[in-house]
Amino acid sequence: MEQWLAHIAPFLSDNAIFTPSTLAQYWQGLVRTVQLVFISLVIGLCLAVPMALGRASGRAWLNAPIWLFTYVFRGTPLLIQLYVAYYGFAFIDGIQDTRLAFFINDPVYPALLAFTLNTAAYTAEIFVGAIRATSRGELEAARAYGMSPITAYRRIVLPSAFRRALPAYGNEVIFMLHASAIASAVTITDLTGAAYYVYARFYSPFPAFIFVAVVYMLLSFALQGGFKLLEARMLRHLKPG
Amino acid sequence: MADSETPLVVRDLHKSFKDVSVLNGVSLEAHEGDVITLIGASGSGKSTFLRCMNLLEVPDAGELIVHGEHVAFKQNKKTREPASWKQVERIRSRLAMVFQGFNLWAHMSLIGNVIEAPVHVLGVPKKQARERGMALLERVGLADRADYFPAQLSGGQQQRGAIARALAVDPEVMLFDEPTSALDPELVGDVLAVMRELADEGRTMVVVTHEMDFARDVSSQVIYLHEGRVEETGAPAEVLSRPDSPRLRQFLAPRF
Ligand SMILES: Nc1ncnc2c1ncn2[C@@H]1O[C@H](COP(=O)(O)OP(=O)(O)OP(=O)(O)O)[C@@H](O)[C@H]1O
Ligand SMILES: [Mg+2]
Repeated sequence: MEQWLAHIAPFLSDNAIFTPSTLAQYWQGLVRTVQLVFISLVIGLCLAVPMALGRASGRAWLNAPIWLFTYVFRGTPLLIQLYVAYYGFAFIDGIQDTRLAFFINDPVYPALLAFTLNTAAYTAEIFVGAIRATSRGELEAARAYGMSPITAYRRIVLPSAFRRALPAYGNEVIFMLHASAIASAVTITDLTGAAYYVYARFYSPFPAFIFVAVVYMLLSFALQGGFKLLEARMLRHLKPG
Repeated sequence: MADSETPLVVRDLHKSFKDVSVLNGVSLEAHEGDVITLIGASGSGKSTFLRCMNLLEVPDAGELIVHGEHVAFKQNKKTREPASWKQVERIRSRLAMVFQGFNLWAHMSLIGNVIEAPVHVLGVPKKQARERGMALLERVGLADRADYFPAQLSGGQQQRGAIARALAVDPEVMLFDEPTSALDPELVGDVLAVMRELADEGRTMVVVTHEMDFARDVSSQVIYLHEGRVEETGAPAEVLSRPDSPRLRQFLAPRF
């Protein structure tokens, strides 16, 4: 990083805003954003799969609570969910003296919690839809060839549902990247937080925010490209001829 | 004479959906090498009968014996269900079904479809299943399409692929439910040709069909179902050429 900065320093010499120090600020913001989004997406995905299975199971005692969970998290703004996690837990009496103190001492944890549960809710619904769209005939063939319900799920239902869900999940990932900008609202210096810092220091909103917008856009394009490649590979079976 | 060597025996099967009774005591005995065709008007219960044979539908009453093994049922308050789903899965893996709509697994290549049940139900080593699968695709004329996905194949190719999938489990009995009804007329011939070959080599088959030529030429027994009962049955030469039942006569009458 230092080397890289030294390299481009000459180009920045007649530029008051994009100094090595502000670029370092942006870089740390980028790292934070990627961390936040990546970790919540991974954990969210791990939660979403069993939730989707529960929703699709047709058992009311499993389906109903998961439905309620996804309904609440998809029915309320992410910013409110973040505030509840950030301010809410700090008000629990005596939490400072428990092992959970770390949770309120660093805003990253409440943000991770809110983001994870939010993406889990959306992803679960995407998967339930994909599972429910399984071809009846294919499922029947699985049964007719003696597959147990577990084998049928593992070999037929889930592989085809994951493929069907891929385009919608790609959108969810990009949505999460953009939504993560609100982490700055609870004092996290993510990309948006860095931009705000630079803006506040130089009072020049256009360079500060447009630069960060470009960074978000590049990230989105990269993600979109990645998902396009994955779809081309995983969904080629749907292309006729 | 049902004994432990008879591939499939069905006795006095009954099945209702809600209050509508669809099968009212139908029986069938498929001996080694038999080709039994089921014919009948739409709604007469042909598909339901076939689906009961591998328990895609659970019959309300009646016996099902596969190679001497009786399927055990247990009676709940209102419904009957198989006593052991393990037994059902084992029996299903010995009766291969070919569907009207092919029902190939869309996310798998053709060869993937063919080796799926051998590998993941019967536990055949993958390499061995693949070799045998390729030989079967060769048989149905699709060796060069092994790596295609179902959506990239014509209906006739998909159905021949589905027949290869059925053969891959080396079934006691093959069950066909109108295997050519969803095909364009020019594709029907290829599929029927494969089925004729299978019959010639002594495969035991139960075939629901509207192809009267196939029934006449290939089958050892024809069963005419009407409202869930066997209205008439016998050798195709008799049943199709000199039907006793007026209903069958009307069913067979050329429709212009
Ligand atoms: N799952 C089901 N639930 C309710 N009714 C059913 C179900 N399956 C079949 N039936 C009814 O059972 C009757 C017989 O259906 P079946 O599909 O066995 O007829 P079929 O002889 O195969 O007719 P076709 O030639 O049109 O395929 C029909 O009246 C049908 O509506
Ligand atoms: Mg039918």
